[in-house]
Amino acid sequence: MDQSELVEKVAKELAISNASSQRLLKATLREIRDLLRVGHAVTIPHLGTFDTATYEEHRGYRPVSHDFAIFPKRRVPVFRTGSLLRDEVYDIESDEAGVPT
Amino acid sequence: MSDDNKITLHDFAELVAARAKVSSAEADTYIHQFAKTMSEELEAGGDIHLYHFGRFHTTHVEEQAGHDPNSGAPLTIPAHSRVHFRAYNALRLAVNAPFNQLRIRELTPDKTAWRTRTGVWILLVLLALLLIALGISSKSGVPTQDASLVPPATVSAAPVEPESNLSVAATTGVVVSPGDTLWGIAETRLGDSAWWPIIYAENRPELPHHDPELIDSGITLRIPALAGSVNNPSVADFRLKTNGYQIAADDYRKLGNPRAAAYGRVAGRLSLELSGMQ
Repeated sequence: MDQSELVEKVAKELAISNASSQRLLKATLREIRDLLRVGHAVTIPHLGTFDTATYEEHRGYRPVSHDFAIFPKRRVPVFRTGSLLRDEVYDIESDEAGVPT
Repeated sequence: MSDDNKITLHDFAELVAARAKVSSAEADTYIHQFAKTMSEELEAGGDIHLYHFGRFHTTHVEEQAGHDPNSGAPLTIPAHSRVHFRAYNALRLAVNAPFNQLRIRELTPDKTAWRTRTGVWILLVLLALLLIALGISSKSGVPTQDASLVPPATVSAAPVEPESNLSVAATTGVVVSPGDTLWGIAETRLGDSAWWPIIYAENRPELPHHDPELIDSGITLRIPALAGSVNNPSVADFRLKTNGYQIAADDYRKLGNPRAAAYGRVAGRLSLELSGMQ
């Protein structure tokens, strides 16, 4: 599913125009990006958490030149799947105690 | 995971609402519906691609052996699907903004890296050209006796002679010190270096080598007195000069010096002018 299909689907569910759905989707994505840029984490209900991870400067293998090099400190965006979505995707029945295996 | 930097859904909805210029309730509803639609799609095992943001996709994980992290008891993890998120470059660059200027550093600095830099080679070539140019200019700057071949013919009668006192003093001799040349002595004593052959002709009987390019230091050279001056020579002076050039040319020829031909030519021209003056 690409972005336009998502926009149309959500617009149909909420009975709003495609244009406003598109605007809201873009606003959501940009807001997430801007929050990640300043180091915040955003949790979207039912879906998961967008967060950042910081890797310190480290020694690592570089396959291009077949040698080791010092990689600089960097910050990357990470996504952690929410437990609700994970259960659904896992497609595993919880046991009697309600704990997913 | 750090909880201190987390933002609540309420604040997030308000921020989105401000950006999209809608009410925060609408934004909140939208975010919930958006998440629900996406999770339904992921549940069905599809991919979601969002422009300039990232891609969600699911992978299948086979059944594998694991252990309970609390008790350490072995257990079997059943086959399942996993959700992955792959951020696109726009999002990566935005998140990495504080460290974007950092580069990968070599563990062992490459000592041969300069060979691949064109700037170094351009600099070396420029340096070599500069040295060559310096060598040429310094070589051409050294005065040689070849310059004395410039014929003093058609001497203009106009300039006054500032060397008159030199000509008066020229009757005396001059002691040759190391580094002196006939050319230089003629320049200082007669006022024109092109007149050096007359000094040579005057002193030739006393010179041991009979070589115009070799005079011993310590000997005394007689400077012949001119009737006129170098700028306004009389006929007698001209005859002296012609004679001097002829003697110099003869001695050069005897020594096998290639300058003989040029001096012979100048002597021939001077004698022609001399016959014209008489």
